[in-house]
Amino acid sequence: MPKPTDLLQGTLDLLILKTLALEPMHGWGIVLRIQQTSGEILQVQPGSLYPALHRLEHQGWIGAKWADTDAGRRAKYYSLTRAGRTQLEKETEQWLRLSGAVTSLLGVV
Amino acid sequence: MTTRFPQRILLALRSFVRHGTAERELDLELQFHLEQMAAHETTRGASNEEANLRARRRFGGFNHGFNQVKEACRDMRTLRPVEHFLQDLRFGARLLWRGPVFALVAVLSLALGIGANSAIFSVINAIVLRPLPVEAANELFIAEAVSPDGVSPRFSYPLVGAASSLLGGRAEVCAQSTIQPMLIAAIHSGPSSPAPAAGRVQLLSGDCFAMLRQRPQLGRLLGPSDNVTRGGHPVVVISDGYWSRRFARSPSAVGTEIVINGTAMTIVGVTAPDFFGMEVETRGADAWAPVMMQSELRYSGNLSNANGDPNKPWVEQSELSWLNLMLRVPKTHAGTAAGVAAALNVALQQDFAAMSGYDTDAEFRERLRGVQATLRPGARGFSDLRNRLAKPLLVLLAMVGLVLAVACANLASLLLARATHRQREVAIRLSMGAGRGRLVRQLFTESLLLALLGGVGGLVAAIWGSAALVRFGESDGASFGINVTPDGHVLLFTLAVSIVTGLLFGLLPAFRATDLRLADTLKAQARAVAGGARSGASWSRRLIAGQMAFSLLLLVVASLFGRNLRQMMRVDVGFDRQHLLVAQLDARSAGYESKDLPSLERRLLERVLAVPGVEAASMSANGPFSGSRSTSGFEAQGYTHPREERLRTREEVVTPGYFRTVGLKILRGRGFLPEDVAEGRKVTVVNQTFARRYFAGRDPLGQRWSYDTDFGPDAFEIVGVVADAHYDDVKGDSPNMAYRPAAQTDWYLDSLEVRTSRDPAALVSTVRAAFRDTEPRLPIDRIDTLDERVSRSMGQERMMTWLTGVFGAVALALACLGLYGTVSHAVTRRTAELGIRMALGADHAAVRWMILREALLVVVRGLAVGLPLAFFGARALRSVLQGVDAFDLPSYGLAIVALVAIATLAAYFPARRASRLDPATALRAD
Repeated sequence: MPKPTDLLQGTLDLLILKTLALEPMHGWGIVLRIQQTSGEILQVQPGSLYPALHRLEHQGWIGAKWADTDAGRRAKYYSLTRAGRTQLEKETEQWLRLSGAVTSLLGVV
Repeated sequence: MTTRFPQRILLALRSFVRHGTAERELDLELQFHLEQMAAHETTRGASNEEANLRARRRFGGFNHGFNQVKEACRDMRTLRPVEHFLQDLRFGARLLWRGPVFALVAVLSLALGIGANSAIFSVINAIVLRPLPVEAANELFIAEAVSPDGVSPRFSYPLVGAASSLLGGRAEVCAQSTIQPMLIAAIHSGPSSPAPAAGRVQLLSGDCFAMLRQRPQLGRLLGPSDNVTRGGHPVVVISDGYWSRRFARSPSAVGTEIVINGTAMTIVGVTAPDFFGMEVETRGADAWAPVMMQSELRYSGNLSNANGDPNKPWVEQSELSWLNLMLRVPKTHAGTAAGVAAALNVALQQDFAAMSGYDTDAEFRERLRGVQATLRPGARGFSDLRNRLAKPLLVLLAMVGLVLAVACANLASLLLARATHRQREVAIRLSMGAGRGRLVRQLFTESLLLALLGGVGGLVAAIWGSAALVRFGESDGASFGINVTPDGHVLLFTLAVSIVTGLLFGLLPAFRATDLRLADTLKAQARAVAGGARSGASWSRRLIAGQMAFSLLLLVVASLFGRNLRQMMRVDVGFDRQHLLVAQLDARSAGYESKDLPSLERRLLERVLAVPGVEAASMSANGPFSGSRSTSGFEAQGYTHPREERLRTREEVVTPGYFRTVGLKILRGRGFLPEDVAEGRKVTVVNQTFARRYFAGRDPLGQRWSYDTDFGPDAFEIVGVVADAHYDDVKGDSPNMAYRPAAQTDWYLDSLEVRTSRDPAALVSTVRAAFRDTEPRLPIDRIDTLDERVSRSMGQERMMTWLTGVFGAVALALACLGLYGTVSHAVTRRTAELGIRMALGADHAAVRWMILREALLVVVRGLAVGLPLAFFGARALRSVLQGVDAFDLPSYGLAIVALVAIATLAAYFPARRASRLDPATALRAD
């Protein structure tokens, strides 16, 4: 098993927001989704995921609701708020600028 | 962005208020994750057990990791700091609960300290700070006439009229008389109806209630149409208090007729419950009547008279100044206060020009031209009480502040001692990674909790204390016109004091308790045997020394007040205090006319002289220590003085037996005789000071004084010189006084003096009864022995002595309790050391002295700081303490002796315990 890549500070927020932009999801679902879409490269630890979720919730970017899973279990589903959507756009743009800069830097060298 | 605020706030509140739900949900959420993770592992082929283990590991270990994640989530909550605070509060409360004695002592001493501060502040708030309870009180101004002679707040009624018409539209003008006691009776008085009772009546001009923006709670108030023609408006408005007392709040009171000083008046309304007029005094008015009714109500109060006739109606005379003036200058007319004062000045000069003698007497005219009308802010109303009490109250506030500081220092040293006991707990928590800031915050929260509990207790104490303070200051303890119950300001003050208190006594112990280096040193020292510099102990010594210093200051102030009072009590008032009964009458209110007076006086004196045990009796206009006085401007024959200087003298009008009755010795010439009749030569007797001041080096007998510069037959010829006396208080020197015989004036004699052969108090009821027989129409307002009156005149000094004494004693008691605690603690800590000393041959006395000496050293350090403090304190009090020097050595001696004696006693008990230690046991200790 490859060693999970450490996530850059603030990147986790972006990943969570992006993941939730598709549909409301519980914490475990977010972990799975990030793992799958990144091809198992990005692994999110519960120790960082949940504090981040709670922070985003208290900042008002995501909302939470208790609902039943397909298997009939109660779980806390997070969804993007309107403010969260704006934030996602802002952070995506920032990320693209940053990664673009890094890529071009690496390309030059 | 704004849309997310409601959600954020809701969430913040929800996870705070419904804390349990939030916790449960957090647990469920993480549990769910754990299960899903385990289930995921099983799909990868792990056994159930293995899957659980892996999931747990991913969470960072078993319970520990799980809890860490939870704590990290909690830390994301918006109101997390508040949660911490509440946690600390709960922890603190539990701790206090576990040490109830400490908690009780701490809270009680704080409640006492804070309560004393709040009580005195609430009286200051009510008397000194609070504006009148009327709309836009800051628009109110008080008018005063300023002249080289001084400041006078009194004006004539014609001036009020002139000012109102000149200022129309720019300012509202209201005139009020003083509040006078008057006889109030029911209209249909039969033989069974109760005797007329005294009520307090104030006269107001027509615009007053409108200017004060008042609404009635029943009926109507007085308006401009109620004050138009002299004697034509028999209407009164009564106060809420009077309505309760006399009419049991019956609506039928409105429309009822009552008789005030013989004139039937109709009650037209009741003022609002919180209205007490414009005067902040302990007792307000019961009823308000129009100024135009002055003559009919036989109103007579403080008066400045320039050639007027007080026996004629006052409202028509520019010569009589008797009304206070309050103006409302609307804030909308910015900057008009100066303009209003100028207009008032024009009205004032117009009024002067109408005075008799203005055209003929150039000097008089010149003097009047120098008078200027000025305005000063009137939001807080008129108040003699404030003038009298503001300074003493501030002194008291400073003193209770010091008492509270002593209580704080005391608690701080208690907490320091506890901090050493809690060192282990603190050390463990610090080593487990708790931040020092968090620990300081927690310890400080405990102090704050104590302080707030003390504040709540203090507020209760203040409600009781402020009422007691006012009752204490008021000699006759009647109903209060002002409300001193704590209001919002007092609440805020108490809260602020509590928090500052908590900071004061809590910060030092909190920082010291969490000082790890200190924990190490203490650990090391616990094993060491010898003493040496212990920083914790040196701090608590500093605190004790500080308490001693403040206590000394308070004790010195208390002794100064005590010696001041003693000094005053020893003053020879000149009158015979032991054998004199004095009664206050009001023949004018009872309806006697000037022509009835000679026969009334004769009848009364004859009847009183017939009472067994009465040696002599007399009557006078004011009477000794009665609180009323007459003062006149005058000229003395052959005495030249600068023109600006106006001579003024006290005046008293007496019956022939007066000097013998009150015990004033005649030093030269003679007293008054029955032969000094109205038609005879105008005679006068002056006191020593008068003779010395105006007839220095001359024989005063045969000289004259006069109200003007004419020393002809209308002037008064001095026929005797009588000993000086203190006429209404014992402070300062005797003023100059001139006596005139009653037969040569038409003055009402309001005082009766009775000289008795035995204890005058025993004759009170007999004299009262004799009075009732001869003159049932004339009730006695007050009857006391002169001794009672003299002591009552020192009521304020007595109150200050008593209170400063109590505060000094409380501070000393607290400081000595602190000393006792600290020395006891030291003895316990040094048990091993003491054991060694004793084993090496130190005897009981040596050990006792060693401990005692260390304690006394702290006391001496306190004295060294406290003495200069006390000097400064005493100097600042010079204006309040006139009878005693600021460097009065006996006061300092007394304070030092008391402090050292009590402190020695406090340190002696632990020292004795130390000397009685058994060396064998002591060595094994610790």
